[in-house]
Amino acid sequence: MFYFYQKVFLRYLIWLAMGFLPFILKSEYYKDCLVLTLLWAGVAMGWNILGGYAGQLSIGHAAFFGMGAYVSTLLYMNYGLSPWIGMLIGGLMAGGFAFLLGLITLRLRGPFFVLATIAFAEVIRISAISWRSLTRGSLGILIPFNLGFWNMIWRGKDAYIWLTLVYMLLVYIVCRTIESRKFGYYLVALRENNPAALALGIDTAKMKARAAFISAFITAIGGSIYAQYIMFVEPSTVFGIMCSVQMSLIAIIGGLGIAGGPIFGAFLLIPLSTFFRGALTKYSGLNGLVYGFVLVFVILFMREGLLPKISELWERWGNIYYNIIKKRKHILDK
Amino acid sequence: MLLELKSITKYFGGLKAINSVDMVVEEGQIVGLIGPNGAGKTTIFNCITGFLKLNEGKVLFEDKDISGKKPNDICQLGICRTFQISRPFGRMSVLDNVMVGSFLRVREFEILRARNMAIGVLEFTGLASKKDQQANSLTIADRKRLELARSLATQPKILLLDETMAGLRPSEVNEVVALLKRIVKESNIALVIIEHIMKAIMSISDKVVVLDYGKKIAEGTPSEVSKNPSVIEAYLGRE
Repeated sequence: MFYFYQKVFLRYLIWLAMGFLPFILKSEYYKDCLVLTLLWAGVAMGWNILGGYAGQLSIGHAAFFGMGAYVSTLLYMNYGLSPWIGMLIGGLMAGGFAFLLGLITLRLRGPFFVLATIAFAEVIRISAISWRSLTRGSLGILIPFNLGFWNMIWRGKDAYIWLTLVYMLLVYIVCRTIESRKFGYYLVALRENNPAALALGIDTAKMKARAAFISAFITAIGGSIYAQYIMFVEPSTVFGIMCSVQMSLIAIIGGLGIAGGPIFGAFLLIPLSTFFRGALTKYSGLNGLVYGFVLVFVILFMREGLLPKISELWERWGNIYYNIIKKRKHILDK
Repeated sequence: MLLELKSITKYFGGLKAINSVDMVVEEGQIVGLIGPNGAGKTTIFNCITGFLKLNEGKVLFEDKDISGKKPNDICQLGICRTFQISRPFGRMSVLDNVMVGSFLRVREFEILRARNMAIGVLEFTGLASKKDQQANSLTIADRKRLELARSLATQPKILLLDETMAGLRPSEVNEVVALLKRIVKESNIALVIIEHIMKAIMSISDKVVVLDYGKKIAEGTPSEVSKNPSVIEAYLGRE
């Protein structure tokens, strides 16, 4: 227990340190990497609510990410509506879809549920491509560079670092709140043992649908922020399967069903993929290979995820250190 | 009458798993449900608690028809069941497991209240010392105890216990029997117990219902039932 308070202290220290990052990182390249890392951490934490806590592995969350991106963008382009409001509308729409879809698909077992989520995202993606009058199809939408807080467009990357940091922090708080309350307990219960959960009075269908709503809402907001950062939305990025896989991977590698897990996952995977893409251009495709190796390594040796493993190592080394201190003290006292 | 089964029948395809069974459970009563393997005892539990739908007949709880309700609604009403093969929430601690049960009777944010209720139940069932242990790591006896504690936490009016003593050593069986007696005495919860350990069930039950091939073949006090020739035949076989 000696190191328990250290852990809590460390947690707050890390959050504080992250607030100073915009001042530490100078190059645009690193700042860009940080924005994306923080954004994906938040999005993955949102995914984690359905995929980690409730155990419903959705590989179609890009549908909600893209919905957020397109809704806020279209409302901004066509009606001049501020993305701050647009993203909430996108979030509610995504949440609504997720809730209704959840009531239908969440009865499906394991692989069939995953397939349904993939299918859903693909349907949305293809619709976005076909519905050219609304979305300009594969051409995508270029967002004009009109500076302003209400447009969520800033010069330079510092403001976006703050934005995504706040986003990540808020999502983290939501996850911590859920996991300590009745709803969180019920989600984990239905993940661990569905019949037992039913027998204890849990309406598993309603809980899953609710988790889907919250998860989709958070993901969609992330999508809106992404749109305002990249200033360009098109179907294959925001609705694509790589987008879905990326957010699931970050959560799984970082730690399923743990609030801070995806943060670790994002800080590992996003810089990794960005750096390797730039640094290993000598041999084409090498970055993919290295990325793949890292993934396999983590899956083989840290099955519970990055955060649990780091936590475990921290405890173990803390114990060893503590015992050494105790022994030293003992010898000195003699 | 707390719980009444009126001529319930359940088919699995062409097989009549439960054949027109009547049963009554009063408040605070301990009813033993026995019969050879495959007689339909667990199926009756599944039918009462909404895991299976009845083909014919009705289940009445406190004089209201609950046939066709969902399992979680039935638990809310006050009927809680345990499973034959224990189903702990593996990656949660013992305390968290029981809290899932006690959360049923508190509101969303009343975490401390749920926690205290759960600790109370853990102390009552003798699991308090293991409250932070992961449920996965428990012995079989403790898992059964956890299953019992978890259902107790939902503050049921009637508990359906499916082979709570299977796989336990005689000393552990005696502990469970003593615990069950305490439960009924202190909270007037009715119990329906499926069990194969004759000594335990005969010593604790107010009345015993015997099932064979889905039909009720005998009902009465433990001594009456143990002397019934058709019961003896059902267990020891036919020529």
